[in-house]
Amino acid sequence: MSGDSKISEKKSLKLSDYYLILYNVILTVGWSLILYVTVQTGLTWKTQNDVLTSKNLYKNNEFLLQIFQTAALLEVVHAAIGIVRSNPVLVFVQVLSRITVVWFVAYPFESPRSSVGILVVCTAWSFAEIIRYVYYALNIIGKIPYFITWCRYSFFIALYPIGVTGELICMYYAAKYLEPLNIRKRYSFLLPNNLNISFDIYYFFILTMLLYIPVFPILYKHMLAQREKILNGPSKKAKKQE
Amino acid sequence: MSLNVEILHSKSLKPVVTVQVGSSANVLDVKKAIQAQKSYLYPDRIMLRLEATGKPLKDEEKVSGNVKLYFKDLGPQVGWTTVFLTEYAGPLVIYLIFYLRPAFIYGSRSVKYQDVTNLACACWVFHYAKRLLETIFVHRFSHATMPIRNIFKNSFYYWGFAAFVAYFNNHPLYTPAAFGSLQIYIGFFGFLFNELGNLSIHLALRDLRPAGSKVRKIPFPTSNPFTFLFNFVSCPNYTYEIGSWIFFSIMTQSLPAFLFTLAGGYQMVIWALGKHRNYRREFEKYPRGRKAIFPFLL
Repeated sequence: MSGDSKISEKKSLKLSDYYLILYNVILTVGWSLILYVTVQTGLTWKTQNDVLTSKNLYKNNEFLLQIFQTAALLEVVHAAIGIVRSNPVLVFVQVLSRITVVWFVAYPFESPRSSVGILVVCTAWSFAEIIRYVYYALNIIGKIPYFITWCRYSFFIALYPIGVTGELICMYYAAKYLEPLNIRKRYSFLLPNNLNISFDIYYFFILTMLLYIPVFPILYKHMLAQREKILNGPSKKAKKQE
Repeated sequence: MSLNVEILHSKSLKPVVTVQVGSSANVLDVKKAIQAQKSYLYPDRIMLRLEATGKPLKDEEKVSGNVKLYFKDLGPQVGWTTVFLTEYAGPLVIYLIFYLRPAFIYGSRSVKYQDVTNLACACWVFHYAKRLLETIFVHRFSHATMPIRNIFKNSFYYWGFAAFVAYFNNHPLYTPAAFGSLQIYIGFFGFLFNELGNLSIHLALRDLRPAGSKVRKIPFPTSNPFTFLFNFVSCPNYTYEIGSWIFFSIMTQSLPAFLFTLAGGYQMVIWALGKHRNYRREFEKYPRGRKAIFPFLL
């Protein structure tokens, strides 16, 4: 979740900075809408079962989630063409897991849609993204209150593991639904075939979930290091330029 | 007369040690002098440079007058032979486990192998046995060692792909060649041809370098007709190696084997471009028309 702008407060804004401000403002609005819909939907829930099935939440948020989570792929482009100073591979890995959840877990399968995982990801993602995009937008114009910087580099400590938990819950329900062979067959490419290779969607999800074990600590440590650098960095000047 | 050489760390630029060597000392002598003071720093794991980010100095180069050298710790080292043997023994054993003990891998379904499955296993075993024997009896390495983590990285690559290919090639639901025995024969003889070509190049390269030396020469075709490829590319051993795997993939009609070909091919192209560049830099009279790995193309 890095994407710090190149610019410091002294320099004048470049064209790419106007674009980035626009991008970050739109994404802030988008994720605020998702949070708003989440809260609105949550207020209609009466029973514990409504919560555990995230009743109506996916249906209400589907379009917004698809639009604004897919838009995050642009951040990989931003990093790759150098208008933001981040490692494009790290950004891609971070976006990839969410794209997987939105398009390859929730979109095709019913069972994750009606699991508590949707509530968890909608909540954790929207809080995390709102603070992140607000931070980026303010960072580009160089007028960033310390409070925002602190939130951006502190909230993730809780929000990131919560979000990952939600993603894993969604994947678990998808995998559980896909386990019976007659269902699995519909989404897999199984032997025998002329290419002598197979793709089994059930094992694909199991493997993807296992991949969180090595990848999550790397990304989390990266964020903790960023936090250390930015909140407790050697000088306050350097802090503002990040 | 002796020389005081100050050794600075190439990252922090801080002094590491100061060593004393004879006035006619070369870089290796300096490395040995460093080891005398810091025993864990054996010469193979030390890189010395004239500038902090310059070119590494060769062991034979004299140090006369250069009283400051920049030092980099390359980390624990392991011999090339050890790395190669570990890398290549894995695929041999792994493929054979899948082939000889299918019940262990695929459950107790009875397996009647296709002829091509037996042939593929023979080719695979031949290839890796050849590599192991070449490592022991043919190759002469110009570098003695490499960083120890390479052994894990490379083994993961070779062992992983071996399991990937072996799993599908020996699978009870394996589908043999769509174009029948003709496809299998083309694949098999193409594979064999390229294996012999690869061996010929390795022998030619061995003969280029006298035993125990680090001499480098321009390779040219020898009396062995397989080596004619030296007229067109700098690294025909890789050309043949890629050829081997293309034909293996055709013979077994296996996408996993083809993916292995692509991954290996990509790596070999990178190595070939590097070696090609080194040849051209090192030898003024390096043949102009020669490409790195694919004749006339790359």
